[in-house]
Amino acid sequence: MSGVWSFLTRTRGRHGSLTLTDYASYAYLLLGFLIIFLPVSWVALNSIKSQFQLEKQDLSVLPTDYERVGRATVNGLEGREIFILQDLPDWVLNWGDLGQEEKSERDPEEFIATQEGNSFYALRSHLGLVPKLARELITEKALPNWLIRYSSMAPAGRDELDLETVRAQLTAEEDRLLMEFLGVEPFKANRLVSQVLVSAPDPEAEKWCDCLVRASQQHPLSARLGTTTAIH
Amino acid sequence: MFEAVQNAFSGSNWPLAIALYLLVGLVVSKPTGGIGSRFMAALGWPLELTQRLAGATSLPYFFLLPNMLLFGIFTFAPMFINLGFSVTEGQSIYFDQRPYAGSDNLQRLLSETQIDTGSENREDDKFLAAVADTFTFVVFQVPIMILVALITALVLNRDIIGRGFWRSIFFYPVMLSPVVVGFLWTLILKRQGVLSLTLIEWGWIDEPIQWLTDQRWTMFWSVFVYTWAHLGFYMLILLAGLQAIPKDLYEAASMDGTSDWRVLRKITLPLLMPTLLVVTVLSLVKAFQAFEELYAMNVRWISLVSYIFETAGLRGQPTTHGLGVAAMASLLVASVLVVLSLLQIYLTSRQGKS
Repeated sequence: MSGVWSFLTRTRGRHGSLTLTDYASYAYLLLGFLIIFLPVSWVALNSIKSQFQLEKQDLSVLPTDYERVGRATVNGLEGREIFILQDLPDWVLNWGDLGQEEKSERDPEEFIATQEGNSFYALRSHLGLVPKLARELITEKALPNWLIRYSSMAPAGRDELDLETVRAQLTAEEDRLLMEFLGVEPFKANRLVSQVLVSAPDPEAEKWCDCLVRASQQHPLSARLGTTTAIH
Repeated sequence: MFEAVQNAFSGSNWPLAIALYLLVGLVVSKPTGGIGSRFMAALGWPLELTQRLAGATSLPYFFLLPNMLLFGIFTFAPMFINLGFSVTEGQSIYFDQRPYAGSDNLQRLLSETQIDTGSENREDDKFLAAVADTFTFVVFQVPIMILVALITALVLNRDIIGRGFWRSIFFYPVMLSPVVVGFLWTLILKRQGVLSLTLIEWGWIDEPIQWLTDQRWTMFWSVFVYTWAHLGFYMLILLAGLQAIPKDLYEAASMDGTSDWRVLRKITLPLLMPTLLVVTVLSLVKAFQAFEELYAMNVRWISLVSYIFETAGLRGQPTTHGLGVAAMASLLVASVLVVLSLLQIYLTSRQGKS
């Protein structure tokens, strides 16, 4: 055993093998390295972390990202439906946080053209296209101008207007767009929120499952305590 | 290029001016010898004249004059302006609007009753608290830093692998801007910072601690961060001191079979004493002046320089006599630093003689 030890600790070009003082020196240097180098490298790496990871007060040294998904709530004729949209690009998920310049670089209409069904409605609302498309529809079909003011009117004022006649001229899709714009029941505003996909133990089934955590949680610890929705 | 020079001078009678200059030179310096030396003497007549008037011994001072003027404007003038502020009162920075106040500012700074209102003076409590806190800081920071710098220098002076790498690691915080250091450690030490969160994660503490503003921790972290940032500089000086110790002493000691501990006590430390003295005085002066990192980290206590900075009211809310009081406080701090510097000069010269 001592033969192995002296083989492993022998040095080339230095006198004999490593002594206790050598070990203490290297231990000291390593400690100094950690205390001096880690804080700075942590801050340097923070500069290439995503805004989301920084806001979550993430403790990890290396920049990483979570798998993020969109949780959509769509109100339609069949009632309210909540579902998960996976594989959305970052710019779609973070649409609300983008600046004017970043928004102008993207084409939301082209993007939603690739979607269908409820995903289409959810993303159309999320990307802020409902008012734009509805106004275009009003101009194109020469619909009455009070439609634009309709959602801000008092209920008494609305009763005097004949919405049904207007709706009779439209196709089902056009009608839905206009109703979403006006906020007429059951077409309340659709929502899409960015959430984080994490693996956590299911409190009931006592096994690991994929859960959703709100992306806006400020604290990584409270994220676990926050409301989670299990998806299967 | 020649054309450009010609254009620059076109319209002016510069050949005439040069001819006149040389003519004056010929008359004033009365040159002798060959054409070359006559020409050079005519060219340099202002210097010849100055030397004749001032004498050869005082000529060097004439050459020093431009440097001394600049040095005087940027170094001595602020000192005298500060002295002026300390004996005048008012908010203005112009002396024609600042009436002479004698020792009033000293009383405003130190007396128990406020001389303008007759009520109790708060300024002396603030100032003395800053003095006491700074003193505590210096008492802990300087010995700790010198000890750590000494240990680091001793380790780095050994025959270790990757010596250059380790040296640069320990030195590089010195190159960071103090504000960057303050910002970096604020990110780590704030309430929701890395340290609190990590310790909670490990279950060492139950709730986050505000390390920088908590009364029990603020001084510890001030000393820690200040040492972290300045260690490398003093380590480097000590390392230079260690390398200046002659190798043959160590060889003689090893031939005698002296233990490492004895070599350290009987050879290394005694011969390192002059360097240690320099390091001690330098770090003492520097610790008394501690400001940037502490200000950037917003620590709970107020250092002497922060007190002066805040009282002067040059940023933020100016007070009626703040500028004069701050100038007086800075003079008191400066006098302490002068005493420390004189102590260093005295000790070094005594050591040089012995």
